[in-house]
Amino acid sequence: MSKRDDDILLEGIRKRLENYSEPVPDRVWHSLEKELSPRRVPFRRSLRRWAAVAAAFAGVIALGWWLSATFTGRVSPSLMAGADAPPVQSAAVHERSPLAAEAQDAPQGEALLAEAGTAPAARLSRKHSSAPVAAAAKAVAAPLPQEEAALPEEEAGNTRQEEPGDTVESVSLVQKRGGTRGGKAWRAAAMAEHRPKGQKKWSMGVSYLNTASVRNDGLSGFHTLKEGQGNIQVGKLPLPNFSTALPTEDKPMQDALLNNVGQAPPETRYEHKMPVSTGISFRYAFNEHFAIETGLTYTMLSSELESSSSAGVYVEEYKLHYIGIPVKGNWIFLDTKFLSLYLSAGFALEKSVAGKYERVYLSGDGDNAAWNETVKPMQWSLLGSVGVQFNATERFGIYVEPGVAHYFDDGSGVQTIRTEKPTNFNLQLGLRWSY
Amino acid sequence: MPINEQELSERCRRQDNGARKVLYESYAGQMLAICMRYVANREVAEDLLHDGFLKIFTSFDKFTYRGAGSLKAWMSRIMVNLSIEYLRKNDAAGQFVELDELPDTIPDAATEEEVGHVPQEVLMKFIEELPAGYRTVFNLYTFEDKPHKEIAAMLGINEKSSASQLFRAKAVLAKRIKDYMRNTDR
Repeated sequence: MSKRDDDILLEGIRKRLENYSEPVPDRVWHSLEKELSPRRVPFRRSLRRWAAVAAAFAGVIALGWWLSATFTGRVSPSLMAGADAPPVQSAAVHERSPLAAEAQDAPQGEALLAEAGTAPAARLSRKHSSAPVAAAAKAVAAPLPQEEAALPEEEAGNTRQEEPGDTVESVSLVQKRGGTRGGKAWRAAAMAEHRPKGQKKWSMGVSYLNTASVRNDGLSGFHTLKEGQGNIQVGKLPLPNFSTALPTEDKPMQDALLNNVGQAPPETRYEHKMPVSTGISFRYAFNEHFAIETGLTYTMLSSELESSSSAGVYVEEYKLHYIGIPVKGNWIFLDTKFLSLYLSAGFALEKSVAGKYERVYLSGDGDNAAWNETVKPMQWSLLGSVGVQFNATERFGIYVEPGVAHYFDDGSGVQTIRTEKPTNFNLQLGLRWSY
Repeated sequence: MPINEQELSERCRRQDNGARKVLYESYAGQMLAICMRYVANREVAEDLLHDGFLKIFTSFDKFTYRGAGSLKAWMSRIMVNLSIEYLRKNDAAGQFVELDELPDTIPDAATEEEVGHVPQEVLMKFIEELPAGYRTVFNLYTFEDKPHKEIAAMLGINEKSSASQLFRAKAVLAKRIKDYMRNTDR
């Protein structure tokens, strides 16, 4: 063969077969799919997980702080030993500072632990008639310096008179019933020490909110995350609205639909990802039972959609950033040294301040689209929750608020987790400082 | 269906499973054909396809988009390398033989037109039925455009041997094509 013939033959064969395709059995993909999932968590989702981890970590730190405060009491000279000095000393150096408060707490903390060991019957038998809790609270509302002056005196006096056991009892009684053996001032002062949240007017908190994500893996037809205009169908994604949707990607979608006539129906999968929500809050307590709370929240909503057919495949992604202001009323129905329970109800107003929408055609004819978009209307929501707060110190606590939120349709045509599931359960974790 | 190679590769790099599926559905057939050409065994080829895609999906950080066709070229290279590796591991009875002499007979030339008349499946069969050594050299030279020097290095033979094997492969194919045309001629 001449060289030219060689080349022609090989070239001919190459051209013939370079795009040749063999039929592939399904099992290969199934096996691949199994090996590829569990999906590696994309960075976004990792961020969410990290936020949850950080909140949990903060909780652990708070818990550790509380535990160390408690166990420090165990190490220091204890009430149980009958020594009078420690309470007096700690009272003498008493100031309204966290450090001293902690020191103050320590012996009492230890005492409480001891009390926990005592039979409940013993506790009950020591019941004294007592001024109501509210009265004591009012007494404490008096300016601080008086309390300060009263405290060392009264407490010193009381401690010397009583046995350790009695002191233990008194402390617990003061907490639970407001009764005491000592003077009113002492009682009031003790209340101030051990009933911080009701008496401390101002609280500040940071929080992280967790809601479930929503996912649908088998929806028929083409869908979009952003409707041009028109009615929202709660719980369903609408078909693209050709008359009003943006010009650049309209026609390809129409083409895709037309090309698709008579073929297998297109399929859509979408997921509204777990929203990330954090915030700071400020709470003002009118009295020990009622408080009003407001603050600032940041929420990120993100959703993904994929529609595929024999004509083409496109994916859409949406990320929205909201800043919001919640306004809530809290009814605190239990407030003790270690635990607070409250009910919370209110509303929130949120506005999208930044957002990005993207549609990408992975195959098929279509112009990709991407633009920054904020949702114009405000998002209103109603909130309700139950709060459980564990107090590490009298000023600091960690709280958990499982709750319910209902989001009103903002009429924007944007499909998010809030349009899909307007009423949902959420869990808020946070830290709260009180002054 | 046109594939948006760049977008697809970007998403695959981010381990987007939807994009991976599109990639697979778009190219699996051609990748399987490549493996078949080398190993001539459907079961083995399907296993190589599976392993190849696994490797592709997990190595996207090593891929840079360089224009149309670069994605397919990169994927093909991975498949070819896996196939060659398989063949070398299973080098039963020295399929990569050393051939020093040229054959005695000089085969008839086959024209491009004739090649064009042979169905693709038949052409594939002819290639698959080549002896293993000839087939590998033929594939690397014809489809991967490798010079004999490189082929020799890849297969552990000498350059002259590579050239002779190619010559023989062409001879066999030319003959089969001619025979096919003669037998199916009206």
